[in-house]
Amino acid sequence: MSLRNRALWLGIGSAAALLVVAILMLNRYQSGGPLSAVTELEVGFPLPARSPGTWGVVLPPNDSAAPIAIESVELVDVEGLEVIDILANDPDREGAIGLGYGFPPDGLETHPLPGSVVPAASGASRHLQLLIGVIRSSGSDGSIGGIRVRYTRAGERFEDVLPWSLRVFDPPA
Amino acid sequence: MSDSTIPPATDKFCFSSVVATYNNRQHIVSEVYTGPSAEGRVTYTYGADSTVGVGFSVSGTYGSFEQSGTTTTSSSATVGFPVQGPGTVETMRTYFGWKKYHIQCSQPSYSYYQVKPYEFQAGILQVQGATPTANYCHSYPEGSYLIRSTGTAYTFSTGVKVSSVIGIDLSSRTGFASDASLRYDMIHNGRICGTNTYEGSAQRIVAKG
Repeated sequence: MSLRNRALWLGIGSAAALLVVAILMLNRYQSGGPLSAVTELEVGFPLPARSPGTWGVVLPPNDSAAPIAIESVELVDVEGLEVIDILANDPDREGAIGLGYGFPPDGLETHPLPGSVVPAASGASRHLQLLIGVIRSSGSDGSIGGIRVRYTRAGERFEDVLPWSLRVFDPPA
Repeated sequence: MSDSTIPPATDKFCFSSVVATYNNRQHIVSEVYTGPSAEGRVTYTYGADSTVGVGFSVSGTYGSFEQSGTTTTSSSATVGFPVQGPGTVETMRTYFGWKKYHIQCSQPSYSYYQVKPYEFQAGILQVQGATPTANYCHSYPEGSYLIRSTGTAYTFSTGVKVSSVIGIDLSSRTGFASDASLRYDMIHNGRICGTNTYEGSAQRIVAKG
């Protein structure tokens, strides 16, 4: 291979590598986005074994001018619990719940999580509530250690773990 | 105590001298509003931080001070406030010692006075407050609990009680700084409400019936 061809291939290889890096950078999630939370929160309630319960979590409000699209919600460090499902709603219009018995919760309008949006600050509501359905396994306390949320705002992708946790335990005899 | 005040008191052309000491000044560190359905407890543990205002004056006389900058105070012992029963509407306070400093500088020549905390002096004081408006509510069943720590701090604009010695009270931003927490235990079905959003992100939270 001539020196000229070698230089040509080297240039093509470098450009391809730069393109791959650029694509990776565009797709990567940033932390500390608009839904990151600084307040640590732990909630707990007595839940009979094998009975369903609901943990309602309102994501931090969207104070920006652009809506936030939820890509995924993942529960972190789940122990002694079965997660039934995660639904969503607008707590200001469709009903809010912190902790409660049964799932889906009575009296609330709910929606599937995929496609959920935290409305822009200019809207009538700027809240999105996650309704997390759980069943406590028998014989032990159950817990969820945090909530990992991936989301997009104005083309930027974010991933944050909310330091909000749940504990469920045996009701007193 | 870390200092973020504006004047360059530690500049090589400045020196400071203590001209007065004010012990047992109250700092508001938290607030508890239990409503009819909850019990509440504040814990302010060793090393918990609060950010407080610093008093500044050119003349140093009573009534001439204004707030300029802030400094961080830390507790050097755990303050365990007692459990508060239903119907509590209280601000929780502890004590710090403060000093008035005269800062004299040269090249160019000027001087001013600063008032800021110098040590944690512990102790507990509860003073009746006024329940804030809180309309972002979540229901919590009997037997449940909520613990909030760290995070979104609320600034009490007159949270440091030093007006008797300098003419104004200074701000204190305690919220739930690093090692302070607020716990509500629901003794009946009730609600926990935030002032500006729901309890996970709210500046202040209140238990209600």
